[in-house]
Amino acid sequence: MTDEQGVARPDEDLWDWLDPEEPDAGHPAIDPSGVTAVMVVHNARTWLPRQLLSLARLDPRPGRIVAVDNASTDDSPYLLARAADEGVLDEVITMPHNDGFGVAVHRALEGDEPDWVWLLHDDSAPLPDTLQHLLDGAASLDAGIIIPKLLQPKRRNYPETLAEAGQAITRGGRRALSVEAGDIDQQQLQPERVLGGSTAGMLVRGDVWRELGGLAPEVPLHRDGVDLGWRAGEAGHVVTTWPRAALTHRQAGRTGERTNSPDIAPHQSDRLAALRVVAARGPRPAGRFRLLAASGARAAGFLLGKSPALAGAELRAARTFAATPGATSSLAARGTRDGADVEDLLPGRFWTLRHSIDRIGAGASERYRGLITTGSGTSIDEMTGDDFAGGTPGRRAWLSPVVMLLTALFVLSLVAGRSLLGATEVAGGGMLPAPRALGDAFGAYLSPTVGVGGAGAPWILLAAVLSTFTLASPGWFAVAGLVLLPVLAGAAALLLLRRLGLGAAAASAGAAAWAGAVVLLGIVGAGDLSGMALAITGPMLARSIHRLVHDDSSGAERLRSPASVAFWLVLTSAAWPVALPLLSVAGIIWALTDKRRWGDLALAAGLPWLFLAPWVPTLVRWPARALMGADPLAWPDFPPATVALLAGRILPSGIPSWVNAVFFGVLFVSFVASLVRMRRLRCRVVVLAGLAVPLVAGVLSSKVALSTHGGEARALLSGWALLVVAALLAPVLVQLGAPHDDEVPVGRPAKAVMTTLVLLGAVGLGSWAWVGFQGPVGPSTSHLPGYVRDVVSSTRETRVLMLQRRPDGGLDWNVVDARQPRWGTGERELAGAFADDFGRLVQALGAGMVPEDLAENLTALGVSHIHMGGFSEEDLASVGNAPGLTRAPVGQDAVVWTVAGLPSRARIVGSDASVPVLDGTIEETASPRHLVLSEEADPRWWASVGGVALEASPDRPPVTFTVPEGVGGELRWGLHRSWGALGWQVAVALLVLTLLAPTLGSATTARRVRE
Amino acid sequence: MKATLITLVTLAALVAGGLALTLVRPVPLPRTTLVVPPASSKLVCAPMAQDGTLFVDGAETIGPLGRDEVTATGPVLTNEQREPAVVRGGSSLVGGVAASGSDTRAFVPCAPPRSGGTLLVPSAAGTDLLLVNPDASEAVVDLTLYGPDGELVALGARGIAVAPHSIRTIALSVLVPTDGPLGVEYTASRGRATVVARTDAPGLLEAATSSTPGTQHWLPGIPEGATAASLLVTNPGTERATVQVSAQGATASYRPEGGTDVSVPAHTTVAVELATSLAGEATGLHVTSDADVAVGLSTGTGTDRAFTAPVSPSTQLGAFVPGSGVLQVTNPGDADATVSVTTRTAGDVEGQATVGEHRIPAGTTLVIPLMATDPEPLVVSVTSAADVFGAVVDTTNGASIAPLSPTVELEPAPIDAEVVPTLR
Repeated sequence: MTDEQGVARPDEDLWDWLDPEEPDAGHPAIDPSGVTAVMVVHNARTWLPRQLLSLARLDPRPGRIVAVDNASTDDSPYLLARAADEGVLDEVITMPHNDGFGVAVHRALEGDEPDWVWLLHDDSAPLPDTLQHLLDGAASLDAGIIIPKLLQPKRRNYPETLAEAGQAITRGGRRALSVEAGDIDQQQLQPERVLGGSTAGMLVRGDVWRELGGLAPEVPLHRDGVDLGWRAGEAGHVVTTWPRAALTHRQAGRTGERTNSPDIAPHQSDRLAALRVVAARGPRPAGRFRLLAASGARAAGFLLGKSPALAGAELRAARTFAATPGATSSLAARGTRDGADVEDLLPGRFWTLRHSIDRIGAGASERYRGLITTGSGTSIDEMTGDDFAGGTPGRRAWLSPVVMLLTALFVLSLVAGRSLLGATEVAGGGMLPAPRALGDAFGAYLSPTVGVGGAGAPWILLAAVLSTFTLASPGWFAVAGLVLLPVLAGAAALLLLRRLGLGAAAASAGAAAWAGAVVLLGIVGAGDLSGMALAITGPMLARSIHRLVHDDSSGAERLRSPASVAFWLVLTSAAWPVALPLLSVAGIIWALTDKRRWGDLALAAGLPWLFLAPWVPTLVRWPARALMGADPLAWPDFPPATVALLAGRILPSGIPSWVNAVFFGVLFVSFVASLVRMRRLRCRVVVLAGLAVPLVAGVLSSKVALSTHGGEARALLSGWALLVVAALLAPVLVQLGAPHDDEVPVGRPAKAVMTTLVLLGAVGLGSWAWVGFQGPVGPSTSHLPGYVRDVVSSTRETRVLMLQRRPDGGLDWNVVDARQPRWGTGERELAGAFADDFGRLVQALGAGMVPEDLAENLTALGVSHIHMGGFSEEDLASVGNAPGLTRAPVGQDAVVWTVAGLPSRARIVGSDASVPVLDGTIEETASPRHLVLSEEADPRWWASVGGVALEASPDRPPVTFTVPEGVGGELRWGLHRSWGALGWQVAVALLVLTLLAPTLGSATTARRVRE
Repeated sequence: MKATLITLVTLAALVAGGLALTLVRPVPLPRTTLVVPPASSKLVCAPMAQDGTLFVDGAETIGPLGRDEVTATGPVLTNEQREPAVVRGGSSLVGGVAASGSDTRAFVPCAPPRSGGTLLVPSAAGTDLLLVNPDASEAVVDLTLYGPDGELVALGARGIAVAPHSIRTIALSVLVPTDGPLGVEYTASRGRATVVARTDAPGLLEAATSSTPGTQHWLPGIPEGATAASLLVTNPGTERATVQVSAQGATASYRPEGGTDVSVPAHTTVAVELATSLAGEATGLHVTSDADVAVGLSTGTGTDRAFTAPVSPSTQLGAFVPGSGVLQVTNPGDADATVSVTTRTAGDVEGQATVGEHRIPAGTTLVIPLMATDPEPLVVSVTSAADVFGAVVDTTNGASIAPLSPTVELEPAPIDAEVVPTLR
């Protein structure tokens, strides 16, 4: 329609310039008087007046408007009667029962055979020209069914948004819209063939209506339009959209705004209708059992989405569907089985997956945009104008401080990690080599620590899980973690600061300083796994706590913020267990002061305790372990720094010390300047306390040696150091902390502070990029030759004693086997119960005073090889004088001694001999023997021969099992795996993630949130 | 202003406190292993060509090769020893096999099995090489022979397998048809062995034990009135070695004639005759070289010869010997040494030992007579504040040298050994 035709257009139609300038005159116009509009009304008091007003404004009016009151229990009949009196309606029919939309329409059309039937809902307000557009479309396309565009209810100062324009249905019954609900209506839609659509505003040619028998009563409320369209399409009629015709559809039924009588949940009736349609339609209708199974899965999904009401509705719909096969058959009988093929109108097989990915991507994009943008959002001008229309002039996304920060961090990290790129194994400092495969990573967790009850450290499980995201390679995960840590830590700080209300520029500056501090503390260069985790989880935990404090949501959505705290607290406490009791105490104090919060706090702190429960026996046995980080006994005895501690020199990083001094000196000066600018004494006290507590705790921690599982180690310093850095940054960032929307702080002090922070970050990260990984961490490969590794990983499962002479004459040594060193082996004394035995051997080998029974000792310890590097020929000659050793050179300055007699970790001890188990099998004998494992005592050891479980021999030295007479076959042995603990922790993790996930709600919830 | 001042003072106090705490000495981490390794040794007492007597003191167990060992206490004397014996004990373990024939006698000290070493003999004639494997695993030994004209290539000198707990005899005279001094270097590519070269020729019953090449060697036991004192030097290296010999005689240390700048070509063995320049004094030799060489000594007063390998000077020395002859103790140091010599017979109980104090001038050798009449097996112990070396030399009816072995209880300081879990 155009102005030239003289057709009236609404003043608010801003898009008329998009309309074709010339009308399509090839088809005769359809007379509106041949149209009978049928509006079905049910409990629509709230929105019915607006609907009636829209009908009154129709231009042209249909020939007849019939309203059917579908047994409303509110004021709707009265409103209808008044409208009839005022001439808006031509007839009002009252139904005694609510038998559905289709039955009501049939009742309205009894005795009437109109040329066109226009179906209206009581909440689908047509625009004045909607009917005219529909008729134009029908004339142009010679269509049997014309489906208009449905708009969402308009919000003030917002553009019109699309609800739908035709719809289809997936094989699972999911509604498949051709538009993205919520998209701005820019008149971008074009007419297209569709399977069907909503009956709201649907225009049906009279002969088609009568041919198809109208709407099917088997789908009384929802999907009836899709069913009708499907049948029409199969009957050879054109079913098309005509987007120029528009109605505003409130969707009161689906959103739950309507009080239904009988009271059936909207989701239930919708799903029942969907099930019936997909079970009845098409050449290959979906199988009943598959639909029921899918409904069960959907119900489970709703439960995970914390929406039991939807889950119940889903199940009730499925039950009704299963109990009423006749209705499905009846619905199927209405179709034309051998009619036209409408397969191309059905969504593709992977539509659901594609649609889900699209939605996830759109969500991520929205969040990213919210993070980096400095404006209030998208304007219509930005979307429709040219390059110079709308938005912030001259500002591009890549010029966002956030993008620049993350890009710079990424580039600097890659430069710094140049020596690690390509390496699959990195180790050094506190980082042990990663397991070779993902299965080994999980195996490391499932194998509990020998000698103490309970499961392994939970950080091993988390590391294994996270390794799945690096192509299931723990080695790559370790490399990626080292290289990308500053990026991730910076991003975490950025998210926190943005949540705290800082603008993008200020938050980016703070995040840069945080990332720089993380690097200069040596966390990356020294392989401080826990420090690395805390650099990320710390800000995220603070962010989640902030969210919890300010959370005023209700219902299931209320669970998300404590679950978020629980999630990040799990990760934090796995890295640094002391964080959990400390924050639990803080939570208890908070709950005592605000009793409304106890539920939130119980959830936030209780779930992490539940997650850590399988590991609690270790913490009870070695309480000091709570103060330590991952693999505490993996750390070399780095001499604790003295004064340099105050310059953040807690770990060797390879970065020159003066960089630390400059960084932390400037940061401290900024801190002091910011502190004195604080007006409130209370704030100063809080800041000083926040600085003093971790500072003192950290310095004291660096001085003590704490016991853990057979050894002694230092407490984790990086946790305290990060808290000190946070305390130093806090007052500085407060100077930038105008919580207004994303404006760059103005004023010289703020700019100076921001510049300082950016420079600090540049100094820290730049020096790291220049130096690279010159600290303890670096690419790591085994020094052992292949044949030794083969033996170690064979069924003999032997150990290798490695010694390396240091330039100062001292020795470095280690015991290596197929399972160590790797993640988790630093949780206990390396040699376990054999520490003294190995210590004596090391001293003997180092001093060149090898005992005569060296080979026997090595065999008893399951040692098949000794690797000695850096020893003089004289030293090696003295070792060679010991019996039972064969020497072979390895490289330039190392030799490997092979212990004669083929030692094995498992030995069979008979009455007269002790024989190593070489090939993993034990011969059957007529007399009982003993199987001796060269392992530390633990009641969880098990062994079986030929499938026969062996009984432990408690009266013999550990670890001994009795092999009964007549038993032979394959020997299997090991520690009972912590499947129970894994199951428990996975269950708790799923619970946390379920609570953390967005709450699945009805459209009502979504609309209420949006409004 | 006041609040600012308080804030700054508090901050300063906090920093000062933190600074003070950083200076606190940290508790050390017990990462280093400070365990003293057990000292135990195993010696093989190889038999002579004729029946001999086994002298062992300080052994914990003793037994024939490949058979059960029995616990031993105190000095043990076993006659008619024809098979190798394996003895185990601590640092005070000493022993040897003594044998005698017509105008000849010999004493071969028990020696530990080693993966390599060098032994020297004046001639291959009548000499067998005994390879004794006292261990439960096979040993494979390669021999390298160095004659006066260089390395001798001999068929059958490589890959000599010695079964566990067994002995194998190789006739050097078959491997080396030529005469002259011979150095035999052995290297065990697998396992280890005690290798002894024993000579059984008319009027000559002797055995040579192995030593390790080095740049300093001490050779004890040149008897008074020695008519022969042949220093055997093998240079297993690839460069010519220059050897200096210092003789510690009865009164002074001096350079014997012929013992200065002895040039030993690579891969050769030379014999340096020193008897004429030793003035018939009881003498100990100190041999130095600019390259690793192996040395041995063949000496005697008549037709018989006694072989001896280098020994290590120590503050505590010991030997269990037949009892005849003299004790020669050499002080190789630059200062006088006072030695305490304790002798006791095998039957003596504690407290019945004979103790004598003797002063040995620097660079001299002291001769102490043992039992002139009715000699009994003696346990000889020498203690000194300074390192000395020596031997029990018997020149009656032949010549034998029983070197004194160090018996110091080694207590090495624990090595700073730290577990490094990332070492792999």
